[in-house]
This record gives sequence, structure tokens and C-alpha cells, in this order.
Amino acid sequence: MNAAVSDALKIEEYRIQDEPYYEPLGDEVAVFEAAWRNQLPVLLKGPTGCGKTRFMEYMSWRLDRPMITVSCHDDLTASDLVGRYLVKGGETVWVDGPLTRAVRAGSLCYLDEIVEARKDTTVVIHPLCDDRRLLPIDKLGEVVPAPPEFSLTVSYNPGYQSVLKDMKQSTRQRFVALEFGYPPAELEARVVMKESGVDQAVADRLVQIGHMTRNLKDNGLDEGASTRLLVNAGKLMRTSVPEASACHSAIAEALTDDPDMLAAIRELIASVY
Amino acid sequence: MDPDSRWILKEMVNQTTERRLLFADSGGWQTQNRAQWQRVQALLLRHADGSAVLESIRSLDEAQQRFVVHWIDVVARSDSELARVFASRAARALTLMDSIGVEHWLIQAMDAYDKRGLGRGVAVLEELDSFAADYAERHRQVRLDQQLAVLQPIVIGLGGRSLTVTTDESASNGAYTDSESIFLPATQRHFTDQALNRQLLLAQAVFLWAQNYYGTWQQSPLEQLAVLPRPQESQAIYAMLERFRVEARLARDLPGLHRYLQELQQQGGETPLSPAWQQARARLDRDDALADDSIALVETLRGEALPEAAPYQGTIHPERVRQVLEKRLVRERQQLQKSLSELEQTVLGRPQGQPQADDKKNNPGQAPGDRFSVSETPARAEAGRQQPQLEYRGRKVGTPAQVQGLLTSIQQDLGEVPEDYLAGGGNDTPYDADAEEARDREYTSGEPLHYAEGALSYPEWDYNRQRYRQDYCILREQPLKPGDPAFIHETLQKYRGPLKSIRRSFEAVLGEDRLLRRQPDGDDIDIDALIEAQADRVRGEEMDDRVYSRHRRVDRDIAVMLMVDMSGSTRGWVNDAERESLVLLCEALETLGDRYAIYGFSGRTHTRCAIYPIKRFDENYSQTVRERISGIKPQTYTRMGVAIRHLGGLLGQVPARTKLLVTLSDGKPEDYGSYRGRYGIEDTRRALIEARRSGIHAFCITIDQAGGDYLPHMYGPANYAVIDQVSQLPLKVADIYRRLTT
Ligand SMILES: Nc1ncnc2c1ncn2[C@@H]1O[C@H](COP(=O)(O)OP(=O)(O)O)[C@@H](O)[C@H]1O
Ligand SMILES: [Mg+2]
Repeated sequence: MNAAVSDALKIEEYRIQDEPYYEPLGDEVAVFEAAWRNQLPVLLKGPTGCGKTRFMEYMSWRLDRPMITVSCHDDLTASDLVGRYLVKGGETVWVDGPLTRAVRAGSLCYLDEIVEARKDTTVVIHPLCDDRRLLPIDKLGEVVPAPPEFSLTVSYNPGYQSVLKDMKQSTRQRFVALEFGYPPAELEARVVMKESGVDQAVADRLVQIGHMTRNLKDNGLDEGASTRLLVNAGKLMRTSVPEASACHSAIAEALTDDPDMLAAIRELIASVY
Repeated sequence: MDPDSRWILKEMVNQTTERRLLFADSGGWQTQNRAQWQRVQALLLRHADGSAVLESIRSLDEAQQRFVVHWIDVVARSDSELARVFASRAARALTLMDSIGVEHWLIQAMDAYDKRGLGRGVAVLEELDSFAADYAERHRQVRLDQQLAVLQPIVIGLGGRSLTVTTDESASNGAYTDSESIFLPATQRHFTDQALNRQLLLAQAVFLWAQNYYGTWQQSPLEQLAVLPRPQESQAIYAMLERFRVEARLARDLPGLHRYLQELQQQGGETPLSPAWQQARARLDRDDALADDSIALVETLRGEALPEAAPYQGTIHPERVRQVLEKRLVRERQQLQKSLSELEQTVLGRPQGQPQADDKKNNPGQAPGDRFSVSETPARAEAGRQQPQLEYRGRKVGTPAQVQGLLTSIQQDLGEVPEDYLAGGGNDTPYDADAEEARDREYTSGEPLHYAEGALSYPEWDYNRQRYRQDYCILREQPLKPGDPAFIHETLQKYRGPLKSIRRSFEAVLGEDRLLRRQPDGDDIDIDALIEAQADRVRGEEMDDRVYSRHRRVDRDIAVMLMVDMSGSTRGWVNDAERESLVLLCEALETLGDRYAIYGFSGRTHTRCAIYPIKRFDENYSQTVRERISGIKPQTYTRMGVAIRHLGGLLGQVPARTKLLVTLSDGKPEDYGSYRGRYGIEDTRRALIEARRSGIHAFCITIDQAGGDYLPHMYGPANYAVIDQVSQLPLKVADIYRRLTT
């Protein structure tokens, strides 16, 4: 966080105008809406690139609430979330962090990849997940109650190390969990078509390659290709990169550096073209 | 030739390569290398045939000239006669082999010269033709073990039942599959060209995958095939028909693969099909053709000449498939039923044998079979996505990977997942008493089993049964007798030099790219912190002095468990190497202050597995610990799986972000009796998978060259390393750290 942020556009007032394209996998839309109405925090589980962020954008539009997203990383401090004092013209000014702004404005707050954040950072969300729904700000000596419209959503990828083991059971149990997986083939092909603009046959082949790499999860790959990677490959193809090399760059190289694995994936890609 | 000069020679080979590139397009190289060129000329002209030899060298292209002259010059430093003999044959050698081959030939000659004198050296050079023939032969064939790291993931990536790519004796007479493994020849030398042979191995693997995937070995055609008259002829016809059918499917699903197969086939030149065969092939080209259709066509083709086999087609062994299939059908049915009832209890939250209240009301006595179903899969599932979808009360449910694998496999055998397979568990028929188990008992007969207190029990994976033997391994932690403390001192003295660079490389590797913020001092000012501190000051509060940033290692938050093989096979230099390298590693880890623990493991049979604590996580690197390291002695056998489970469990309890399990071993995971070979390897692999699932990174460092081929299978291709020098261990660990933390 640096000073420039405080002058930036007020994100807590920004609303998504056009309906984001989101292809539901099941009843997640209804469940999220119910959780929101009941003021329950939500946990999105699932591998990276399977539509969690897109889902949040869609819900933000659908509920007509602004959304603040924070991508967590291991340098993220509690102050980065809650806020800090800054010096302005010789005076100190308190500047709210994204979480505080979201609470005050009653918007949706999405902490992406919460696993990545340091443990002492995640502690600040605990009282918010409580049914008192409060955000204490120590430096201000203030406690901000969350309005009913505020909602906290966190995401994590259970394929990697699990925070939930580290997160207290009492915290964990306050989350309503939604599981995101890769969409079924037909649906995923539709997403790829819509998002990248390739035609059905091209999208089908991309999904086929996606499935092949997913078969290799725990057999040499940590993770198979996400929908995002398939979309990326599709976009490359739309700008006239040949299909096989688009797949190689956007999918294979993104998944692994292991030369044998790359050779194997290269053959798998070649097999469908 | 001693290792040092061999190394120097290899270096020279490398340098020559470089030099060749360096001078590749600068003309007049003789002028540039005038001294060398003159030396060589003078040397050759001292001999009667000198000018003829020089002429033959001048007739080579420029790169070759440089290559030859360089080597004549090098060899002449050892012996001018040897150099002359080489010179007189160099031009011819280059017509027989590439320059790498020529270098091998020359190195062999110099080797012989070093060891046994000029006569032998010259003799090797004179055997140029046989060497070249040999070289061509060796460079034509492709070894399966060198291709496995690529072939195995391809076969798994293509989908369906996970098939193991391997080899056996009969595979040299034709690649085949038994429906669980794909057996390929250990070396492929069908074509004279190496690249083609590599291509052929791949083609064989994917073709046999396709047989399995597209139903050649489904139960129904297999049974029908068994009762056809004149079995040999029937099988040959069936194999060919199925090839045509499978290829037609490939052409639609995986056109790239199909083209690849065709290219190889055209290497052999195609002969046209007889009309009867053409007709049959057209029938099997259809979208909905099944293996049953091939069976039906067999009769129409008796007496017809069989079309020529494709090079990748291999052979078939229906009898072997049948044996494997029968066992699998029973096994997978039981496994599926068990898994489904577990799924119902745990995931779907219904206690066993206790129907939910609403269930009782609505569907009294409903069997699990009525609750689970498999959604209809497309009749023609595309490769890579043939996945039966499990439903529970008409709703799709998240299916654990293991259940998904079972459903896929069952569907591959039967063409569908029959309803009675989905009818719930309860059917816990025990497996046949196992011969291996009996043998194990023999080994321990007469001695009471050690189930006494303090002992822990662990499961073991039995790959034959594809399930765990519960509570099968009995393990206890045993104290290690301290060894001679002088050993530590001696080791530290002996490796004083390397130790310095080890420490340095640890610090360097670990300090990389990490920015520590809010430090009391450092190389840079942390602007964020400074602003905050300034803000505090302006408000009259105490100013925080932690306003610097520093490039240093941060809370890497790593815990390392070192698991040391103390089995009998480490006796001798391996044991010394283990102890010495542990001392060095501890020294290195101490400078970092990371959490680490060291345990030894060994044990005799599954009832007495032993773990020897050397340094627990909460222990300091004390004198006692040092003496324990020195006291590491080869014990009995290796049972690696249980050790991984136990130590993985201990590591799992340590609250660290990154958890690392490093096995230090001679790379032979076998115990007494049944834990030998594949069984032990598969259990170890399984234990590692379990560890990985609980967030542990597993690596293996072996002090043995032979370990190579199955280590990647157990640890994954990137997670093992072979060392042959004591001081390499800490460097490898530093490497692993780097991979995990950056
Ligand atoms: N269900 C879906 N509907 C629409 N687009 C999707 C869907 N799932 C994935 N995508 C596509 O995949 C991309 C990555 O998804 P994203 O939401 O960023 O993943 P995550 O947040 O889970 O890492 C999106 O930009 C979108 O193109
Ligand atoms: Mg051993």
C-alpha cells in the first residue's frame, strides 16, 4: 500500500454495470445468495483458474453490491488489510485498508488465495466471521460493525497446502463452503468459446487437452490445466498462433518445467491435431 | 587411464565442440591455428605416407579438418606414432561415423594405450570398421528405460484405466498388453534409424493404450474369442480387425496420433487389402462399431490372406488378459462397493446401516444401489474424457479420484457400470489368504510377534491386491548407541575446504530475493514503515525504529525430516558416506537455524520395523546427537513405506509452512521376503503419495548409481538425486530448498 491509493477511485462505490459472463456449475448462485442474506461468510474451494473470481464478479453484479478483491500474498500484513496512518502535509491521516473500506461501505470483500497470507494477517478476519461481525481497528481504538450487506468471501485451493488445518476449527465452521471444480466438458467448451472467441471444434479440442493434463495430476503434474489456461490458449489461436504451439505455450509451459513432462504433453497436444 | 585424465579428455571433447562452433564461419583457419597446423604437418611428413595422409585430411570439409588436426595434435602429446595411425584413418572414420563416434573410437584407443601400451592403442585404431559397425548398432536402438519418463505420462494423460508401461521377456517378440500393463521391448531396433525407433516405441505404447481404451479387451469379446474354433487363426484375424477398428476411432478422436501411426506404417510400404478385408474394414470404420462386431467378422475372413501387420501393432495374449481381467472384476467390484458405502457415510453424512428418517418414510428398505447411479456416458466418449459421472439420488456428487478411477476401469471392462455394482457395501468377503503373508509368517516363526506396548502399527499397501493391509507393520522407536565422538572431528577436518563453500552456498541460495521489511537496520529504507513511523511521530507517539528493509532470508518456515537408511545394504562405504554427509549437512543447517530432525530406519519383516531417533525436532545439535550420528550402523533390512508413514506423521505435527522429507539411502527399498522388488517399490510410492497429500514434499537422495530407474517412479521425476561425493549432500539439500522457497 502506498499513499497514491488513498486518492484513487473509490472502489467501494464502483458497481459492475454489465452482467459478467458466468456459467453456473450447480446451485452455487443460490447458495451464495442465501449465505449473503443470512450474513454468513463464504469459502470458495477449488483449483486455480476454475472461475472463482468470475463467480464473485457475477455475484457482485447480481446482488448489486460493490466488491473489493484482495489477492493475498505472503508479505500481506494486517495493516495492508485494515489501514494505517499516513503523513499528509505535516499531518497524520488515517487511511482505511481495503477490508475496512468494504466493511464501512457494506460491500463484498473477496480475499483471494487466503492460504498465501501470513498467519498473523488472517487473524484480523476472525471477529468478522463471528456472528457479532465486527472489525476492531487497534490503532484507531475503534470497532467497526459490519452492516448486513457486507459479506466476506475467502478462497483457497485444497490441492495445495491446506490452511483449514491451521485455521481454528471454530473459524472454519463459520464459513459456508462452496466447492468449485472444472466444469463438465460441454460447459467448459462453452466457456472457452465465449471467453476466447474460438469455434466449437477448436474449443472441444482444447477441453480434450485440458482433460489429458488433468489425468496427469499427481502423476507428474501438481495440477492439470485450468479453464483459464484453456481460454488463454484459445485467445492465442484467435490471434493466429497455430493451435499446437498456442497449446504448448499457454498450457504445457505454464504447467511444468520438467523436460520429460513437457515432451509428454507435447505429444498429447500433437495427438489431437 | 586414471579418472582424472579421463575427465580431462572429456573436457577436451567439450572444448573441441566449442572450438568447432567458434571457428565455424571464420575462413582461413589454418592461418589462425598456424602453430597447430604446422606441428601436425611436420609430424606427418616425417613418415613416408605423410603427404598422402595430409591430402586425405585436406579433402575433408573445414570443420572436419579442424576436428582431425586438433585431435592429432592432442594425441601426439602422448604418442606421435598413435597420432600418425589416427591421422591415417581419420578421414575414413569420418565417413563411417559422426564426429562423436570418432571421438569415442579415439578415446577407447587412448584408454588402451594408457593402460596397456602403444600396441593395444594402435590395435584399437586398426579395428576401425568393427568399432564403427558396433557404434552404428548401439546408436540405432532405443532403450525403453530411457523413454519411460515420457511414455508413461503420455499413456496416463490419454485417459482411461491407468496402465503401467513396462517390459517383460515376451515383449521382445511383440509388444502387448494384459489390460493393466503395456509391455514393450526393452530395446527397440526395428528400424535402422534411431529417431524412427523412438517413434515406434511411442506408437506401440499408444496403440496398446487404444486397444484398452476402445474396448478390444472388454469382457464380452474376450469371452467370445475364447470359444471360437481354430484359436490361433481366430486370434490373428481378431487382432487385425481390432487394429482397423481402433485406428478408425483414433482417426476421429485423436487425428494427430492417427497420422503418426500412419507415417510409421508407410515406412514399411503398404500392400492393398483383399476385397473381403476391405469390406470388413469398411464395416469397422463405422462410428458405432464395437469389438463384438470384430468377433462377428472373424468367420468371414477365414482362409483369406492376412493383411500385413503394422510395425507398432505388436501381438496379443488374450489368455493373459483374461487372467488379469477376472481378478480385476472381483477386486474392483468389492472396492467400489466398499468405497460407495464409505462415501455415503462420510461425505454424504449418513451413518452406516442407519437410513435417514425421511428415507425410512419415503423408501423403506431402499438399497444403496437405488441411491447411487451412474449418469449415462456418451456412447462414443472421446479420448481423454471418458468419465462416468456418479450420481446420488439423482444429483451429481463430487467423486473422489479413487472412486472415479474404479468407475472408469469397470466401464472399460464391461462397457458400463452395472447396477448391482452400485449396490452398497456390507459385502466384505475377505480376500484369499495370501501366499506372501504365509511366507512372511515362516520367516518369523518361533519368535513371538512384537505387539507389546510402545509399538505402533501402520498399514501397508499391497499392490497385488490394490488395497492396504491394515495394521500390518509393527514399528517401534529404538535408541541408538552413541558412537565414537572422534568421528565428527575427523569429518570436519577432512572436509574443511568443502564445508566453507557449503556454508556459503547455503547462505547464498537461501538469501536470494527475499526482502525483509520493517527491520531495525538494513540496506534500504522501507518507505511504508518510515511513513508510518513518521505518522506516529507527528501524532506524538513513539517512533518505531524498524524502518529498514534488508535482503535476507525470511521466515522460510521450513521443517526438514531426514530419514536415513540404516539397512544392511548400506554396509561399507555407503554407511561412511551417510554419516559424513550428515555431519556436513548438520553444520550447514545449524548456520540457518531451521528446524530439522534426523531419524534412522531399518527392521526385519513387517512385525519388527525399527526407527532410530538421532535428532528430534526439539533437540539441539548437541554432543549426544553428534555421537548418535557417529553411531549410525547398518542394521538389518529396509522397509521404507512404514518409515515414511511414521516419520511423515511426525513431520506433519510440526507447524511449518513448508515440510520436507528427505530420504538418504542406497536406493534399495527391499526388505526380507515379500517386500522385495515391485511390492516394496509400490508400497514406498504409495506412502510417498500419502505424505504428499498431507502437504509434505518428499525427496530422495541416494548414494548409489543403480537406483535410477525406479526412483522417478516412486518420487516423481524431479524429486530424486544421486550423489557420489559426501560433500554433495548439503549442496543437494540447498538445491531442494531453493526449489521450494523461490
Ligand atoms: N464458470 C465460468 N463461467 C465463465 N467463465 C469462466 C468460468 N470458469 C472459468 N472461467 C474462465 O476462466 C478464467 C479464470 O477464472 P477465474 O475466475 O479467474 O479463476 P479463479 O479465480 O478460480 O482462479 C476466467 O477469466 C474465465 O475466462
Ligand atoms: Mg537397503
